[in-house]
Amino acid sequence: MIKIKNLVKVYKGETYETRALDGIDLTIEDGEFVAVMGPSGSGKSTLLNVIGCMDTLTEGEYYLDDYEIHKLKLKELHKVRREKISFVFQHFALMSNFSVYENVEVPLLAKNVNKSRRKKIVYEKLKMLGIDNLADKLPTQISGGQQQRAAIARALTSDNDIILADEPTGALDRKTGQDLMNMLTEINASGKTVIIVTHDDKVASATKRIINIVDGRITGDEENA
Amino acid sequence: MRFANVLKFVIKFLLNRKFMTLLVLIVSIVSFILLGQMITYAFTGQYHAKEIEDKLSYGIDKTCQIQFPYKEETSEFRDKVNQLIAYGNTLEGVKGCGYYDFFGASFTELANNKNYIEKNELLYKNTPYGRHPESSQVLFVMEGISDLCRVNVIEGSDEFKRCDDGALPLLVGYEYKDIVPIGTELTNEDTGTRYKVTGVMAKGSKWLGDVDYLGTDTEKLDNKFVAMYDPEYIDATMSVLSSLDTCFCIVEDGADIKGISDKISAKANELKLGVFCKPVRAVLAEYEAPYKADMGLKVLLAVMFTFFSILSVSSSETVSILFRRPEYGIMYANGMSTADIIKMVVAENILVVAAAFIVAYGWESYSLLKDTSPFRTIRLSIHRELVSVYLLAVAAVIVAISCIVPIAIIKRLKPVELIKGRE
Repeated sequence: MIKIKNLVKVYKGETYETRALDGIDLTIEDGEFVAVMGPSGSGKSTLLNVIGCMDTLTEGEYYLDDYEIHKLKLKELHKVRREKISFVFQHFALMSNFSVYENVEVPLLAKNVNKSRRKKIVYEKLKMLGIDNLADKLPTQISGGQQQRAAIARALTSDNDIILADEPTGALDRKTGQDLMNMLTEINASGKTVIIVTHDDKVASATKRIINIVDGRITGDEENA
Repeated sequence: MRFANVLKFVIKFLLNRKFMTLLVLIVSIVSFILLGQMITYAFTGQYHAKEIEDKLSYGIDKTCQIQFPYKEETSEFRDKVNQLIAYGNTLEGVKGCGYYDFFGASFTELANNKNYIEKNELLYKNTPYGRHPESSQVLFVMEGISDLCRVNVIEGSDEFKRCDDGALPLLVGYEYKDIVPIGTELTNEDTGTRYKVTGVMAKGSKWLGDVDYLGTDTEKLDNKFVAMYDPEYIDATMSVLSSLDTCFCIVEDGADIKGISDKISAKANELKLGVFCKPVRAVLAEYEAPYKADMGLKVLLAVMFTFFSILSVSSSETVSILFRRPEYGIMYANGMSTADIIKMVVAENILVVAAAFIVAYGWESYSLLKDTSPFRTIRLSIHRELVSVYLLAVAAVIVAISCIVPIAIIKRLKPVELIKGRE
């Protein structure tokens, strides 16, 4: 379960100070399928990064299962990230010089999974997403939709409970985007918590809960029928 | 993350940036080769002096060289030289006085010895001596200085004295120990002088060179004989003249070296010979003086070159690593820690620098093995004992410095900044 109390995130530079998140209170139960919506600059990606332990809090409290994230230093967050969280990014974030197989394998290498087991898991996920025939291809040799499937396969290999997707359909055409949402729905149905950041109403409508953020504050949080 | 997994990423990174990796490798290899050569050449003189010191049985203070700055190709001159040597041997405090020379000689008994000829064909293959495998390379040394250099006799007697039957003593090199056994009698075909094998020299035995013992490498005795100077040669003007660059006088413990030197000089003056008699230490000092003057400059150049090598390799490695920041962001997002990323940076630097070290050191070893210059053996020793250690130290410094900047940057960057900007 994710529980956030009065979360504040401030970015400070020499000449500026930006309050990206300003007093967020939020609870997300295990197995929820949530969309975080808001205009550009509203703080939704920052919220996702904090939830995903890619960034720290300035103020407030953040509990993730048994972890008190707000008490952990940045260098301690990788353990939580490795054990609990997987990411899917808008531009797929695949390493261009690594094959699809090698990209999908990365979280398993971080977890020190042995070679034969890595191979079994990677091919299982690639098959599940229908891209096992592309294992040896480089990301530049496959389509955007196939790249996003590879990114999802990578997110699934580590079998983490939470999947965070930042504008996952942003770089895809409508049909491929729809396919992707169907996949994320299936993943959520298997028991995983899926949180999507989007500004696309159609994408949000596929989720079960929609949270609206404006200027770093939650302005709406409702069930999606 | 496990080291094997770290290595998997590092190798992939290196292969993906082949051109950059190749450039860094080339810069490192060239730097290592040049540094190695600089060190080798800078220390050749010192190593050679040390080798001479180690080789002389009585050290460089109790071994004096009698130098003849002026030589004359006459029998009178030859006789005066021999008189001077005979005089030196009578002086109180003098252990022995004499000269030596390496000659090619033919022993009648070996001229048709099949085993001996076959052995020489093998030992002197691709050398001028290979054309006459029936002849022998002999160090002719006068009795007084027969123990000038440390030579261990592993079989037979190490006494270098005329045998009871009148034959002169002859030691055989290790390579001939089974072909020319102890007791074998040999006759010098040129002079008719009889020799008898009295001992076998230990493997690796060496003697000082005969032309310019300071400027050339020591001579290996494994494929040679050591014989008492043939009396016929002592009476031959050319033989004596060619031996005068290696004329020595060994003094006993506590002897008045200056007094002995003065007496020899005085006797030489009386014989109308101009000679200098001084301890090898003094001769070495004179020989090394111009090299020592250059040494400071060489060391400075070596230090500067080391610095520039470190700088160039470190900066190219740093740039190469910093180009990879997006990949590091992806790794963070997929569960890797800062420590994992740092391990990759360090492993990459170690791998590149180690590869450069191995190639450069291997190349230099190969070049030195193929080297035919007089100091090949000494340079190989320097290469093995000094260059290897120094280059390893430089390699360690390069790795350490190459890691400082990337690690500092990696530690400062937040994962979110690597993979994506703030919203």
